[in-house]
Amino acid sequence: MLAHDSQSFVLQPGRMHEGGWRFEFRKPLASESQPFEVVALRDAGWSELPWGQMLGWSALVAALLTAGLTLVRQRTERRRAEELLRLGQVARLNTLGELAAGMAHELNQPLTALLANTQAAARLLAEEPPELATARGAMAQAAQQARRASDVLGRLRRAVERPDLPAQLRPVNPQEAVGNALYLLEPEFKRRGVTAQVDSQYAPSAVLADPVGLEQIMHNLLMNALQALEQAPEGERRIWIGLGTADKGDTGVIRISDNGPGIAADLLPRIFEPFFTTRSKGLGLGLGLSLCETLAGSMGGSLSASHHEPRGVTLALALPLAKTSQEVQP
Amino acid sequence: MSTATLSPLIHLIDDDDAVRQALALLIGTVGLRVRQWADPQGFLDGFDRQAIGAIVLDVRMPGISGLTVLDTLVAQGVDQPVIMLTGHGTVAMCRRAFKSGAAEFLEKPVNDEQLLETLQNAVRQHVRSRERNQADRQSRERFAQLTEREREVLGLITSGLTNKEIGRALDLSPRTVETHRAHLFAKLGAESLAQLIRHYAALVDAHP
Repeated sequence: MLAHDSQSFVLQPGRMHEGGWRFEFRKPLASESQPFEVVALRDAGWSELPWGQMLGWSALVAALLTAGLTLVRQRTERRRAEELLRLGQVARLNTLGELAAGMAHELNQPLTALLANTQAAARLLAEEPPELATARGAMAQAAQQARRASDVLGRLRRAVERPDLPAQLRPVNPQEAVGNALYLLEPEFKRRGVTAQVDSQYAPSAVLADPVGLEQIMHNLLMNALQALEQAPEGERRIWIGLGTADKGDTGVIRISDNGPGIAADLLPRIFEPFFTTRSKGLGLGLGLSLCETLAGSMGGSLSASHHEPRGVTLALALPLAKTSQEVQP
Repeated sequence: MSTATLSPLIHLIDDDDAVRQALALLIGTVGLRVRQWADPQGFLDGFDRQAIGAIVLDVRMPGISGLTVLDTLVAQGVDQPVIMLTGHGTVAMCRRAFKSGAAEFLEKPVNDEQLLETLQNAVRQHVRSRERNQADRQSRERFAQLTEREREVLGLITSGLTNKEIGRALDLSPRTVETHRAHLFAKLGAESLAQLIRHYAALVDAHP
């Protein structure tokens, strides 16, 4: 269509519709003598719109947005999981730090004896005439102390074996597990003047557990009890360890009680929450018991806390008893 | 003097049997007698306080810590030098031990030369301090036998006065002063003026 003022010449006719969109294009022709305007009109009806393509594009954009959001959410979740893992490792490192401190003393003792024995032997052999019998005795002692040091290291190695492998459940003698944990913590008990009493009269012969996990739980629970007893007067610090069964003999239970200050009744249910701690700021991460509960759960057991009469806390670890058929397995 | 003639006795207190026996064996190789104690309380109750020697004390023990034992020994006026042994000595623990009167602070595992040299020094130090104490006691006993007048004369002698000056000061004849002087030299077992002053000047100052 060419237009000038109110006149217009239709060059190419097209259909005009009611409704829909009207597209309009105007352009003045660059000619002084013929001041015409080129006008292009196009009416598009509803039916003429490219519905399929529009829907397709919308779907594509929506899909892309969803994918992007999912990616971001996944990344956040992965980061959170990594953070939790890292915290788990921190808690583990803390436990290991405490373990290592005890281990340092345990290693230093045999090393002291070893050094003194060998140096004494060297001196005895240098005498005129050499004191052979005594020197021989000293060397035998030295060898025994070297074995003692090696045993300590063996324990440490077992304690730090990879924990993230799926729990290897097998029959474990609970008395042995308790004994090992007490052995590792013996210097702590000594240093803090805490006496431990083990009641294993009704101890089950075997519970189903991951030996390393069980040792870790025992270590953590005993450490907690020892720390609670720091607030108890010296000479009265006691820890009771009771082994028994529950649920008509289907479950083995290890109870660890202390006569420390105890935990207020309203706080007791919260002690398994991560980052919940009754210790002063900076002293505990509040992950030890949470870690223990997780470990107990992964072994098909449970961990519960209760008030210990007349004061203190009892933590009870329940674990399924090993079936007789499993007991015969090595 | 009989205790000094016996070979010195080292008391070794450590609850770890293997460590204690090994250290005892090592100390024995240089001819020192060793008495072993596994229980610190047993040691406190039963050890010979008169013997010449030294005490080797482990810091980390059940029941009573080594530092507590050290405090008890110092409070009881035990004069044997105490050598502390520890697995991991912190600066704070070390300072605490020396402040409490420990003679030496050694870390486990301890090297033989270091331990034995420390012990021999400690024993020498103990012998010297016992001799000094013995001499002091003897001096005090002899000093107690002097008469009032003799003490006065002694005081003036140690102040550097001549017989004549002393006679004037106490209104005595030089002859009488000479007699007093001879008596107190005999009673105090002094052979020279220098010896008299060295052993008794402090006592005279303490009993004016």
